[in-house]
Amino acid sequence: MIRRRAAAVALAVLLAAGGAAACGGDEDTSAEGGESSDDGGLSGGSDGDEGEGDEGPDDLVVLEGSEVAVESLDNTFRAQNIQVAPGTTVTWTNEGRNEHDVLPVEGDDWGVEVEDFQPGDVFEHTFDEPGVYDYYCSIHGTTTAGMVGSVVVE
Amino acid sequence: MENRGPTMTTTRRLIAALLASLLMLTAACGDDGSSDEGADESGEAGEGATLRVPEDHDTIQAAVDAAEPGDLILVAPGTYTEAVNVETDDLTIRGLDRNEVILDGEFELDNGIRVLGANGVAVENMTARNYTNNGFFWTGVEGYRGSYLTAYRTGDYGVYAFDSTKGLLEHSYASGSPDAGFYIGQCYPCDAVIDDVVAEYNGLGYSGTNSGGNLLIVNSTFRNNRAGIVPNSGSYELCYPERDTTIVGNLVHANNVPDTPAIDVALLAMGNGILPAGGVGNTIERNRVFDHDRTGIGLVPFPEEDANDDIPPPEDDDRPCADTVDEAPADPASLPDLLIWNPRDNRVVGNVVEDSRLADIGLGSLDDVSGLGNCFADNTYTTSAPLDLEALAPCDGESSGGDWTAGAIDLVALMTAEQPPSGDYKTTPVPEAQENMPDAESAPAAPATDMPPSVDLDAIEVPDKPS
Repeated sequence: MIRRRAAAVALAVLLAAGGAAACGGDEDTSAEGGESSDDGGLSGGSDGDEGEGDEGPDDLVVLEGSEVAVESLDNTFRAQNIQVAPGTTVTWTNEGRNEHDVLPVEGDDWGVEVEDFQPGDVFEHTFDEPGVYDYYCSIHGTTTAGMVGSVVVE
Repeated sequence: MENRGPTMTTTRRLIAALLASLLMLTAACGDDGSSDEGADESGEAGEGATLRVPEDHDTIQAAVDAAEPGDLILVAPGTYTEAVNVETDDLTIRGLDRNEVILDGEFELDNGIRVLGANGVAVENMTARNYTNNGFFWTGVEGYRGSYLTAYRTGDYGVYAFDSTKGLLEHSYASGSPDAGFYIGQCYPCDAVIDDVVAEYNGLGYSGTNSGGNLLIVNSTFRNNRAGIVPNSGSYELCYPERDTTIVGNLVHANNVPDTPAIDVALLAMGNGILPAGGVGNTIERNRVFDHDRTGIGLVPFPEEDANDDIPPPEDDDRPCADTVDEAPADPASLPDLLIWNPRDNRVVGNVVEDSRLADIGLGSLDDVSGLGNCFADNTYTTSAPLDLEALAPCDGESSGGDWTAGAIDLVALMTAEQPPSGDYKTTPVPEAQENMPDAESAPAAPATDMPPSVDLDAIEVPDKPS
């Protein structure tokens, strides 16, 4: 029994070590992302990148009103992470001197391509369903880094 | 002993099987299955591996994805139609021939090599052309280096560092960008150096919005652009204003070319050599500047329509960028329709400026220029606006108290003047072959982990005029 227990402990240690050794630091992120990307079937929502469940990013700016604005500067969304009520229309204005786009991390049922978001251009979308809607500028960021933002609807 | 033998054997077999599984698992997950195929992906002890393109990986992106911090990626001559994203720290990505390792965006891809949040990445000895946005682009990094790079026909910038610190751009060439050939923006302190670069046929040779703080532009050539070196302030990027850029020992000439690609700021700045637009606390020293339709060196305001925030007070000049980016902007209703970023506290010293059709050295503002703290001294020049500018605004001693309006720049006329429209960046001149880095095949990996290098500014002299 002792030997079997020792073997079981060794197995557990090896498996744990194997998982960690095989997948490195990135794997931890992926695992979290995989678990937290289950957003309960929220339409268009995604929160896997932050790995924070349905709560979204920490630095949320709560915006009130039926219409709220986000500035697309070069190369930052301001406010970067916002929280709004269902039914809110969010307006992005390209206030920079460079072209940008606004693309959802998941899905393609909203967003604006670069051709239609040159300096001075405006894009708006109404978020009816609760969820976490991550987005990014594909020119100046990826889905996880650079020029990224989130709309938390609740 | 005999009774234990079989049990021990079984245990050993079990552990051996577990170890084998562990090793297999490690091999399978460690590199996404794309590496370890090449014969020479093993570095010497204590060094990173060398990954070769296309021998070990078909594409630069595949090599980058397989690489680990410290690795060297060597790219063989060829044309690579890729937009490469780099998100691994401390890589060295090097072409074996600067003129024959070509990333080509075919006017469809956005960035040649884009480094996103990966610190210490060095890119060396290659060309990026025909990208809709940028040739080489670092964003959100600490530690970067671009050496022996050529970028041309790029829709925004040639070589571009944004929201990044501790960098070096050197021995590089950029042409054919409507914004700027070289750009460092949104950083304070930037802790960065631009050394021995050439920018031509761009809207701006150099642009730096809201950057500065141990930011040196030295020993470089800015010629045949719409305007040469244009640090600038504005609320369309964070960390405003531009401040504390040191511009020493550069050759700046003939920045009047009317058919380059050009964004609106480049049209506004056309015909000027060194033009801090709304810049603060810059040092412009020992440059040779000649052949400009407007000013050789001009300190001017930057007028910003529909600004996104107000101008911070001077006492905030030393605030690091990181301390300000999350601050809420001013209420738009409180801002004027036209926000004027004035040049203040700049030093223009010891430059050699000639053949400027408006003024060799100039200072202009829509406000009273006398109280902005700018100074001029020991320059070799013929004309100034206002007249007797070195006496009006000396760097040591008291102002002459003369007439600031005599011969002053008519800014309104300049800002409203019609300029030739932008040319097409897709048809700008193809550059000549550029100098290769030494020993590209054999030089060890050199990630940008100790940037920037120190520069002996005192040793830099006014460059000779080209023959």
